[in-house]
Amino acid sequence: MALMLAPGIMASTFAQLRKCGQGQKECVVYWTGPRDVPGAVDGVILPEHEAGPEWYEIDSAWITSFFLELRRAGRTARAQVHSHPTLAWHSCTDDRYSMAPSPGFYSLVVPCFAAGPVGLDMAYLAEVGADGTWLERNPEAEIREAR
Amino acid sequence: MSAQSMSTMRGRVVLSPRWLSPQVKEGSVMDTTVKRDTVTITYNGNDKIIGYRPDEKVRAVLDWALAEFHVASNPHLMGLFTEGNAELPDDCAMRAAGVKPGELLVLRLSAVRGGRG
Repeated sequence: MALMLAPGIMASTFAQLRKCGQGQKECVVYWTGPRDVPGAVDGVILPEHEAGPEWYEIDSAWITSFFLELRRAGRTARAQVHSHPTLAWHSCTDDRYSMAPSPGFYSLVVPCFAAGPVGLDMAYLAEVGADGTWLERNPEAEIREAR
Repeated sequence: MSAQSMSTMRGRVVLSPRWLSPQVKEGSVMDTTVKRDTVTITYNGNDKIIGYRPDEKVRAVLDWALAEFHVASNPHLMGLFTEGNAELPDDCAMRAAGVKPGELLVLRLSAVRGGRG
């Protein structure tokens, strides 16, 4: 299921990654959308987290409150998007500790602390497959933004 | 309304087949139905109502929830949390862990992180 972003989601994502990471730390946001509209993304959520040049960790209480809020609002998280200092790829930690490791959940990695042009250039995309493993996907084919 | 699902104000709730299938001994004239309480488990915005016995281990309910939500990746990193963010100990019985019938539990990873390594 491809992701259809509402207008401005990509720009908002890059703005958050840049502002929070300040070109020195990784940062992560979650793309959310209405639970009953498959693939739709119309929200960018910046979690409470700590981060360094090559890592981030989400606040434990925030994770629980996030899931409760998604439930209350009838929404779901469809992807995590985080920045890397240099090249974009999926580390073992990225594989093991994602927010929602169930089939169809995406993970987009943005290179160079999101300092490059807004878009999918040089980005890495993976999706959780039916057996729980992460499968590399073509970002341009899987992510579209409405204009 | 189908037996498999029902609508609530909070959205779609799916009744687990486990909840719908009490243990009844075939051919018996006695009612041998095992009493089951239920909890609602929420994961990434979706709910499932799952039946359990009070003396059942948290691990068993967790395993069932993982299957229901199709979480196959690193299941040993997942846990059941209360709304107050207390993780239920896997090896405790549901009642001993303080779970009340009808309670809302959150299925989530014990830690969410990323980075090199």
